[in-house]
Amino acid sequence: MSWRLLGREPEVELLTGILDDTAAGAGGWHVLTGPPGIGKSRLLQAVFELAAQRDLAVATREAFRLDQAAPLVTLAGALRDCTTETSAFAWLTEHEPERSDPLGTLQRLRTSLEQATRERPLLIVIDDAQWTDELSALAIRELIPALASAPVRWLFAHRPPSTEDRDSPGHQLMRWLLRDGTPPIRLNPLADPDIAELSADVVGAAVDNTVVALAASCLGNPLRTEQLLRALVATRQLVVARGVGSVVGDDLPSSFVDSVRELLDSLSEPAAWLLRSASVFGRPFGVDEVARLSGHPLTRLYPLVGEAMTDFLVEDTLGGLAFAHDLVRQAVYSMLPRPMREQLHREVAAITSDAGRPALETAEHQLKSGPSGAGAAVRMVRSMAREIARVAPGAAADIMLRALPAVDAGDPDRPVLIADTVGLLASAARLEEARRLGGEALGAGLDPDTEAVLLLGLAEACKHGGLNTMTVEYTDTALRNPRIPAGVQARLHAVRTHALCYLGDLAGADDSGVRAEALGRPAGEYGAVVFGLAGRSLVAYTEGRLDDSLAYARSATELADQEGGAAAHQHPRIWLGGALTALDRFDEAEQVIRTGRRESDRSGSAWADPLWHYFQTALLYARGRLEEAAVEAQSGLAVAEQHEANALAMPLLGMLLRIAVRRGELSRAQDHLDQVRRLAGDGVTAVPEDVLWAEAVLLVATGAPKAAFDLLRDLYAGLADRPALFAADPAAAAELVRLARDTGHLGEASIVVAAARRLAERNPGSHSAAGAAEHAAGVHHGDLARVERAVAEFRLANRPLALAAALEDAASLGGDGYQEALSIVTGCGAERVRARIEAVLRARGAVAPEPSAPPAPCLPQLSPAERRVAIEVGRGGTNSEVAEILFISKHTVDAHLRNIFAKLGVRRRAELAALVARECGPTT
Amino acid sequence: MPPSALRTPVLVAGAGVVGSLTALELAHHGVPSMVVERADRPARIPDLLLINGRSMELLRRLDLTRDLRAAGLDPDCPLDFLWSAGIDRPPALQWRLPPVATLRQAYASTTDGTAPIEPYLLISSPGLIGRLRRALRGHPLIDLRTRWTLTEVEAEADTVTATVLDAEAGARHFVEAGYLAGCDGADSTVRRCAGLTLEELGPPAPHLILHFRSPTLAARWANPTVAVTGGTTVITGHDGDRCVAYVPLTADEQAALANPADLLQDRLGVAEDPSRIVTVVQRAGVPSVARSYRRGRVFLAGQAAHQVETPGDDLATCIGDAVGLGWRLAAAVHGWAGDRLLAGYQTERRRQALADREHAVRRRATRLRLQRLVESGVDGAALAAVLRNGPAQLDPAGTGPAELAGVAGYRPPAFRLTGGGQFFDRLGPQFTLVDLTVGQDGYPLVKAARTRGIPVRHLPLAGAPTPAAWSGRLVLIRPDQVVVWSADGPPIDCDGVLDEATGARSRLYENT
Repeated sequence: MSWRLLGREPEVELLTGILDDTAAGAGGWHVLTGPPGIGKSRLLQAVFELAAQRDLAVATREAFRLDQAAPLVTLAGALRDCTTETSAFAWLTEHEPERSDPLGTLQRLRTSLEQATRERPLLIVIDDAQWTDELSALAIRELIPALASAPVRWLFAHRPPSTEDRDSPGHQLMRWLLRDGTPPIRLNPLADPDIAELSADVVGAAVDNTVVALAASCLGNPLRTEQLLRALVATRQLVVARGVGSVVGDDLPSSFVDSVRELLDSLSEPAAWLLRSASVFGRPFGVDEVARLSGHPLTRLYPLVGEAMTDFLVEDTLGGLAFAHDLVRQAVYSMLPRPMREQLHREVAAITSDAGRPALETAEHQLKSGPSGAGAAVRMVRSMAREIARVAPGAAADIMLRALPAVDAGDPDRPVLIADTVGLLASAARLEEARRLGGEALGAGLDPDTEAVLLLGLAEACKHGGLNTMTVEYTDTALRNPRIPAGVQARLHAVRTHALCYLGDLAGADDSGVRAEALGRPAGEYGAVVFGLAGRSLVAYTEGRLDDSLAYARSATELADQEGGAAAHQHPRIWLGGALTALDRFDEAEQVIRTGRRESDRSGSAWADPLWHYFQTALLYARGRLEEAAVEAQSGLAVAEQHEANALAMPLLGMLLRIAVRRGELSRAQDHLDQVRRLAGDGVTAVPEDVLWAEAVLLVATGAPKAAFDLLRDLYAGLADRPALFAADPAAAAELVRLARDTGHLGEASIVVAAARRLAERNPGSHSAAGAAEHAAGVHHGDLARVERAVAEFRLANRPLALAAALEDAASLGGDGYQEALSIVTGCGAERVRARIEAVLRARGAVAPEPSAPPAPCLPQLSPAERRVAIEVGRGGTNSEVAEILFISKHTVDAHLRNIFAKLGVRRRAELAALVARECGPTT
Repeated sequence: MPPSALRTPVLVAGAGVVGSLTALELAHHGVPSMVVERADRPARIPDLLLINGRSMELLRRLDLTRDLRAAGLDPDCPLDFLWSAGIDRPPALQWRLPPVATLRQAYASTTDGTAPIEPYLLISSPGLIGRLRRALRGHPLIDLRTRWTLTEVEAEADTVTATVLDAEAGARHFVEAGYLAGCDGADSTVRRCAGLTLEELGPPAPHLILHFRSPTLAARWANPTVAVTGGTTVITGHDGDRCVAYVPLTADEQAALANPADLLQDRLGVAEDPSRIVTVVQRAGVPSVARSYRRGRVFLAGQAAHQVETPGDDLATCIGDAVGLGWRLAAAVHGWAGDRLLAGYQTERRRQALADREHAVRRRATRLRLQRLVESGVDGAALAAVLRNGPAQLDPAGTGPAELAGVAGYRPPAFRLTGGGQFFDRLGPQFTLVDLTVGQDGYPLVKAARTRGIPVRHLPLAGAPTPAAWSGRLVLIRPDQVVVWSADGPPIDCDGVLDEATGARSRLYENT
């Protein structure tokens, strides 16, 4: 079935342009959309020819329905068969490397792609992308931004979703790609003249109006047209006389299925049977597989295959057979009587299993092989639940969900099955479904242990999704039963610690942390102990007990290092890094974060990614490196969104908001705020220090101090108990005092002063805390000496932004400091403050001298961090290599590179390299 | 013109409902025709059709009703309509179409003339077409050629030549005709040959029509039943274990086309084995109407000229097309009417198609509303009110609004003559002047008509028990039982009246 490409001139022109661009080294992605049979695959064939002419490497896969059961098969399949001789993807031919270590595999994929595209631009085409498996979908979400600056061009063809499958990983991926409103390349029905030409091609002769009129009933869909005409020819209802074809039949097929049926009926009985049984595979299949299924020897089968090839089958690149179009396969399949269908699925399940194909594929067939098969499918999924939960939780959950109705309501195993399914749904971030199903199971009455495990799964899922209140509800329900195993109790308490901490119940949180440790240690549940300690560290930090915070995080880290396993997977270095930053121990923090991040990458703990970004952002912010901090937070936000880790998106957005205000980008800050509001609207909660404070900063900046004060009224009241804000942002104390005074709230100003003093007293070693206390008091009382003491403390703390703020305040009290403050804020990129100080200086008639500028660097448009990245990329490093060299995350390199491309107006790495070579001289 | 050409006054393409009735209408006026039809037997799609009372009146003129009723559903059996939130759920709303026998009695006791003289008929489409074909075969003026396919049309100023392929013999023929009636359905070849195009009137409403066997479903209700659930409509109990499901699809559900069995299960929860699905019909459901119904001597009628979202809803309009085209073409062939009368065909029938569309839109809105309410569990009384206050979902009479009865452009009121016979049965095949005057004052008009060769039956009915709505003592009625002119005395300008009657008076409006 390969009609000429008709009527697609505009699309071909567009795609030709895209390929020319790719050949010139520019990357990007495109989505091709249209209903099944409209000619997407045919158009892609033309694209492959164009790509070959341009000497592009092409990696392509036509996904099929069962891709969804095979982790990474869509993407790995494409790359494995890359047209270019490249060793970069050789490792993918090894047997399912992805299963043992999915996230490690993603890292490796990225590196391989970077390697491969160094040699030659690469076109990756995924046809029928709606069937992309979930691990591939995840990988593509990761790789597209990661490779944005590499000469990799992605082309996805997909059909619009139906109500049933709109949440499949493939469709979600397409929605994600098109989320910013980029229109897809839409394939419309063919026009009448094209359909007439197509008809003539199919019939092999000129056709008259009877044919054209009837073909028009297929509404410009080439596949349907072709099937209809073939059926007519096969049933002799379309005859060619004197070189012209006419429809003369009196029993015209009235639908696509009927056309396929007619065509099938025109084959010999054994050939038709071969097709019927092969339709069950749902994927390309080997002749040997059909032989086994049909019980025919291979020799007898070949002539039948030959017969079936004409109208139904095509040979794929690997020598397997496939239906020419999935819609045709479905139509053939739909005609199988149910008992026969079930029998065939049973046999195909055995064949699939023997061939060592993915377990979910086998389970899928078992599921369709009748009521007894559902049990087998469930056993299959459960036997490898842990493994599957990491690579294909969604597909596995779907199988379980479909099997559940077949499991008797009175079946004693049913609750456990539901609990497992809830766990899988939670792993797949399908929170709403997990909660619904979980609720149903809980209502049905479970044995206490199962119920506790189920509640734990739900609590963890809710925690991940940022639904802290619900997390606490679930843990409390579970913990109401004192007889559940201690290990489970420990885990429940550990989750509860974090949730309560977010909800502001610090005492309760700490109490749960204590219990997690007390119950977890004897039970050997070290993961819970570590997570509980991490929670206590967070509580201590929030309460301003910075040394305690450090001590808990440190003991968690030691335990994790000692026990490994689940304990290590909690990555307590995240909180250790945070505690160290709060204590101004920046170099140690950086070291800890770097080590922790490397471990986390190695173990594939994707959940931790946004957290690393957050604490790295906090560190950069503390060091006054605003632009880098913004990039870091932005990358973290992208990762959080990819994993739908909404709880982590909030603090990152808060950081971005504050940074944007400091840099004077108020409209961007407003965008971040809008995003915060959207998440909050979805029920995602955040701690006040993260978002309320950030919003207030924006309000002050936009000249609405009264609104800012109103927003913070509760925060003021609570400062005595939770002065965490001062630990994160020591200059905030004085800012809060000023805000309170400016709006006439002297009482609140005093509260701030007292709270800052208390924090300083509690943390005698902290220069930041001491500085914050002096700064707040100094501003409150207009006491220059105190502000100057704050300057001294901040200088010791090495916090440039706080120092600049204190200097500015000192200057306004008659001290000296504007010049130094100006130079600091200029260096930090704190544009708003810079503008303010300059205005003051201008008003005083003092001319702000140009800060003693360092020798002008090359590519002055770039920030220092960007320049470092640009130079490394100019040297030919891949993003992964640059990340290694510069000790920053790959996501951050990606983000920097996007900014660099935008600032320099280049679109290709080669252009950048040339620019770097010209502007920055030899860099090796 | 090749010497071997066959000749006929009117060539009719297609022997479906519209083609057959066009030929029978022509024959009713004494005009021979040739009917070419690709298929040898009725299509395999056993749709259940409802022919409303008004259409039955028109068929009664052609002496078809007795024969058709013999092939129809049991006249003592009602048709139940059920709305429910699921096929297994108790119905939230019920409505019953009374049996034919009941309506016949009710109509007999209606005295205002609005009741049709024939009740509706439920009949399967193969049953209807089979009977019509038999009538074609039995008629001496009609030359039915099945397995003949029209492939090309060449129109000249005073003839149309069609190329026709005889599939059986593998031979090609040329048919020279005075007129060509394209009654060849939605995928009309004639339309394409004539270069006539459709105008889309609304968004497509694609759907599948699934014909399947289900003994359980067919036996679920005592009477033949139309069950509406979640937008899907199932008709059962009308034809043994055969059921028909109308399943709307969204534009994005085209993939479902390949797996109707699963679709059936999804939508209805009916787990029928695929082998029990007899036929699947796929429709684009694009409401559309031909921009023009005519090019020279080539005319379109029925679904070649207009299509509605839901098939079957347009049957009355299709029958009206056939009758309207038939009598006008007959007049043209007989030579007593000119081009103006033919032009009136498009004006009237296209307007009717557009009115159908408007009505369908309103009906659909009510249907969707009902569906939503049923799903939300609103009580039966509220649902009944929606059904009552909305546009009629089904009108078994089809005689139009009572206040327009007898008005020019509409059906005259029906009544029984003193002897017991129906007044309608006394109308002539051509024009009829109903004359209630004692002195037969209408005679000058009849005479004037006959002078011009216009056939008019003079029907003196002085003292007849006409209903109150009767519009005048002299009423001129068209062949399709539509009032053209009425007055209490003879016209001063007889020719003016006749001009109007045979011409395309723009305000003439017909409701069949």
